[in-house]
Amino acid sequence: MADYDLELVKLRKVYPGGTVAVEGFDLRVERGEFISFVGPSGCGKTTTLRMIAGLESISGGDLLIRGQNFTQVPTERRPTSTIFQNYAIFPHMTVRQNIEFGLHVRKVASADVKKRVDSIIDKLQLGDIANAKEGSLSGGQKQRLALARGLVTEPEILLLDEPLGALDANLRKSIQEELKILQRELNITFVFVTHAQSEALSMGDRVVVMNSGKVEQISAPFDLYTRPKSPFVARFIGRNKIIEGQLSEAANGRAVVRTRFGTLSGVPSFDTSTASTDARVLLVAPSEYVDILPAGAPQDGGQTDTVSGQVSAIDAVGQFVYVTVRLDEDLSIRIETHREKIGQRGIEIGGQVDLRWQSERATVVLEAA
Amino acid sequence: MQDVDHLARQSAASIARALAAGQADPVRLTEHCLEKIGQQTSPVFLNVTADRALREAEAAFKRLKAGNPASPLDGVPMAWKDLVDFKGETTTAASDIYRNAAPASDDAPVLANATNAGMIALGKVNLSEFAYSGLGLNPHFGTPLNPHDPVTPRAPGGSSSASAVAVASGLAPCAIGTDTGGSIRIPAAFNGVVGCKSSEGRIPTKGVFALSKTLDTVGPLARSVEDCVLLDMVLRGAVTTPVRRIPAETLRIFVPETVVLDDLEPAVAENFENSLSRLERAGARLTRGPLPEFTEAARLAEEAGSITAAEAYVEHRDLVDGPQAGRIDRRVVARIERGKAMSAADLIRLNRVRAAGMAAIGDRLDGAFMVMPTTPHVAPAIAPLEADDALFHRINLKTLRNTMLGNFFNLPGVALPNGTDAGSMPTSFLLCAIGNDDERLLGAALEVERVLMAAN
Ligand SMILES: Nc1ncnc2c1ncn2[C@@H]1O[C@H](COP(=O)(O)OP(=O)(O)OP(=O)(O)O)[C@@H](O)[C@H]1O
Ligand SMILES: [Mg+2]
Repeated sequence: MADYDLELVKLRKVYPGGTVAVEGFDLRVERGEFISFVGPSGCGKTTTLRMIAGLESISGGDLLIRGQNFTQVPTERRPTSTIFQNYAIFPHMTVRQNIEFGLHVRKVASADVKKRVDSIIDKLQLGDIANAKEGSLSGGQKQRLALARGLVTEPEILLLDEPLGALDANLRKSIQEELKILQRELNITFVFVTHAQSEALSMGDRVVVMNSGKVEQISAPFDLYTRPKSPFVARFIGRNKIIEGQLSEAANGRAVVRTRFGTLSGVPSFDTSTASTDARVLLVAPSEYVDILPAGAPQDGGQTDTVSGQVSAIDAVGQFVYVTVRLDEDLSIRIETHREKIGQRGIEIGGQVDLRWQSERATVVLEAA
Repeated sequence: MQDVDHLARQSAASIARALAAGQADPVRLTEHCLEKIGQQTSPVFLNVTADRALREAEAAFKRLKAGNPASPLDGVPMAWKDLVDFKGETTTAASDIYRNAAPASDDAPVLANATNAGMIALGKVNLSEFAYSGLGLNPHFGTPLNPHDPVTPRAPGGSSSASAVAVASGLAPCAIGTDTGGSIRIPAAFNGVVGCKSSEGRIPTKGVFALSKTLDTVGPLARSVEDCVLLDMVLRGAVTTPVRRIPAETLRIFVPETVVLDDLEPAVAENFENSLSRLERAGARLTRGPLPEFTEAARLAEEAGSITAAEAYVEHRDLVDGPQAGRIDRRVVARIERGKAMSAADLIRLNRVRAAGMAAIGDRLDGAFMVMPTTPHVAPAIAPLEADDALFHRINLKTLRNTMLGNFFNLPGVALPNGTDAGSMPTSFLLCAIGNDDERLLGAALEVERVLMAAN
């Protein structure tokens, strides 16, 4: 029964003003999983997290933790801890007092308080500053303090809302790694909200992509990156090259698409048995798999697709070169490649080129019906 | 057992009734508040006195269980502006300078009174540094965010910024603030809660960090006028209150057309007029007219400065003239320094105009209550104010414009939510009386609140 650490069943939130912030959110999280939530501003990430934490009431659906229904349980009785970007450490309390706070609230016996606080201070290397107040802490120390405060109550689920948003890029990188290590070590479930897709993809065992209050896709990072299931995900995640078209046939894990650049094909992300032919679809090819070649270059094996166009710009940024290829009036595609490659292949502004990829690398997604 | 989060969002009086009836438990309620405080998303609480609160809650539990409450607010948690001394805690006035100052040796009398009445002290909350600005920005500990705009960070109002935010965002059912130029009424207005500025000297200010010894007053921010009535009683250490509701039909209301109606945001003007017509329909008698004392006070503030600036300079001269001035919010230093430039003649003129004005306003009102919009605008966005000191000072003065007239003439006032603008930001209606008429004021406010809240 209690196979899942966290289960959201058709979770829904309507704010008093009438804003539907979250709708039909289904999710099942295994013990010790690291789940990232990513999506544009206002899509409902924080609202979902706050419903899990018990900081916002749930308007509909159910919240289960280890099989037990927590929908109506107040925040102090939930086995969760929350860490926010504005972690709002109490500035007039010392590091130790800040960490102790949650244990006092949860009425842990005082002998235990000291033991648990000492152990977390040790684990997060806060020993030297245990008696300091917020004003004298560095960004990284504040972050570790916030984590210590969240972890000291020994939650089953740690909820993190853009916890690294206030940090500079280097610190962010190193704390990302620390977090990941800590999570594996403690083997507790993390739900991690971020704006930054690279962070979501690098941290999460699975990633939930949200848009306008709804879940668009829940997948492992590589699948999300290479196999989007909706136009939104195709555009939001990664650097996909996208060509519009109409479905001409779909069977046996392959979809053929008529586009104004010819017939192309890819792996369908939808149930082919129910899709009607002529449905509007997108052919999506991740940038990494698209090669740029002089026009008419011979194929070297495998089932590939090719579209042709004219080079309209070449921008160099350090080692990388961005080649913009104009396919027609309405569609230009930008390819990232290396300086040597375009030299060797004689690619220059005004020249005709082919863009080519392995058909099986492309995904076909249905446009909204 | 009632749902604890639902309970925590009720008025202090309703909570107290549920506690006394054994329908809820003060310990669980306190734990719930503390847990939510632990998950605050902006710097509202600077210091949480969790041990004290839980101890007090256990004691309240025993009293209530024995059917022996200490007061009508026994067991209700409250937040305190960090200007008020807590025994054993540092009073910081939200200044970096006092971060590590010595802890206070005693509870301020006002806190001792509330504690004797069984109220639970959750901890100390953020404010504008030294309580000196109406917008509530704090560069040292961060600005507590107005909960009414989930998208654009907006000013909480000040100086009792976090007192209002704590109440509005459900961290505490009620909170204590101080008001020297609008510091209770403005944040109450910006956050859609009730705020009550008392008359000078009514509620003890001993053990409360001073800005202006003359004008400083202490008062509650809460979710209803009833709460303010009970808190007015409890904070003074009284055990009964003579406050009686004044029926609308016998209310006389004066609307000054001088200064306080100038340059209002459209929604503020519209909600104000709407409130007036509701009161009129309920039977109150309205008169409108000029009040030259307000013009005179506004002019003098420009020319001569303010009592607050003069007194704040006296309180803080060692700091603002000393080597540590750089550690104080530059905008606060700028305001205190105006006091340094004032002459004895300026202060004497201010005091004479103040005394003459109090008498003249008393004559003019003759038992009527005065009303005005609490602030001419709703809570402004923070980012532009942080980026531009000139804009900050201009908006700050405008924010304080109406309320500071009440301080200058010692007019107690109750700020009541009276609607929102199109973007759901609260507007507020300020009901004032003459000095020391607090009990009639509260009695009238009970009725005005009822009229404003009634469904059309
Ligand atoms: N307290 C509130 N009252 C009313 N509406 C709210 C409230 N909080 C959030 N919303 C609205 O609900 C929607 C979802 O907001 P939420 O904060 O959950 O988004 P988010 O994905 O966390 O965004 P961001 O990436 O900007 O943090 C938005 O339209 C927001 O304006
Ligand atoms: Mg968010």
